[in-house]
Amino acid sequence: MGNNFVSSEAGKISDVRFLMMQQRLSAPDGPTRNQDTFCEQEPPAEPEARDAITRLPGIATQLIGERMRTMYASMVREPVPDDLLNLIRQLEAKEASE
Amino acid sequence: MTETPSFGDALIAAMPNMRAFAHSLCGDAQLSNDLVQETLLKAWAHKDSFVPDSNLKAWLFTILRNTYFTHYRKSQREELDQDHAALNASVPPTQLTQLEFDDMRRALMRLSPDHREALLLITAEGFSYEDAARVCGCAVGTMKSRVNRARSRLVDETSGQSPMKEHAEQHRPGNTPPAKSSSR
Repeated sequence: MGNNFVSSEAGKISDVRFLMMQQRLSAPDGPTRNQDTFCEQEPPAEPEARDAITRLPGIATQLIGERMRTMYASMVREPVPDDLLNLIRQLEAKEASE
Repeated sequence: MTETPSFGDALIAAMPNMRAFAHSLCGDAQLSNDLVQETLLKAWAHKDSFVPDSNLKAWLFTILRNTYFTHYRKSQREELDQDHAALNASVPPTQLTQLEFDDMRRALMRLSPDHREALLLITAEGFSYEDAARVCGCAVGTMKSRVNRARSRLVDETSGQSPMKEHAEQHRPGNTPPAKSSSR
C-alpha cells in the first residue's frame, strides 16, 4: 500500500518550484488567498504572518499540505511496539490487583 | 449493548497518533517511543484529573508536547548538536524511503519547534485552532500566526527558497522553545 501511494505521490514536490513560478507569473498583484486550498479554514491575516500570507502560492501550499498529511498518515499506520501496549496492560493489571 | 472502553483501551487507541506526533516533533523514532511511554505513565498517574467526555487526545498531546519540550530544553542545556534530530531522523524503510519524504521531513525539522507543532496539530492531526492553542498553551491568534508562518517557510524550504533561513533563525540567540502548557 505504501509503495502505491508513494509512487502516486512521487514527483509532486519536485513540481512545486515550477508551479510556484507559473502561478506567480499569472497571479495579480496583492493578496490572493481565494485559491489557497488548504483544507482547514484559512485564518485572517495577522501582523506577524501578513507578509508570509501574501507570498504563498495556493497550489504549492496545497501540495505541501497534502504531502504533510500523507507523511503523517503513514506514520500513524506504523505498528505500535509491543512494549508500549504491554505497558498499559501491566498498569491495568497492577491497578486491578490493588 | 456496547461496553464502554476502559481508560487503558482509550490510551491504546490513541497510541498511533501519539507516536506520529512525537516522531514528527523530535525526528527520532526511538526518542518518540520514549516520549510516548513517559506520556502514558504520566497520563495513567494523573488519570483522575482527566475530565470524562472531554478531548482525551488533546489532553494526551498536551502531556506529550510538554514532555518533549522538557527533553528539548534539557538537551539544549547539555549543548547537544541542534541538528541531531534533523540529521538522524529515522525513516521507516517501507514507507518513507522516497527522496520527497526525506525532503519533507528535513524541511519540517528545520522549522522552529513551536511552528512545527502548530503545523502538525492543525494540518496533520486536524485539531481545531482552539484545541491546538489549548494544547500549546497559547492564544488562538498566536496559533494561527504560527501555522501561517510555518506553511510559508515550509513552502520556501521545499521549493528551494532560502533553505537556511529558518536554520539560521533556530540558532540565533533568544529562539527558545515555547512554554509548557497546562495539561488540564
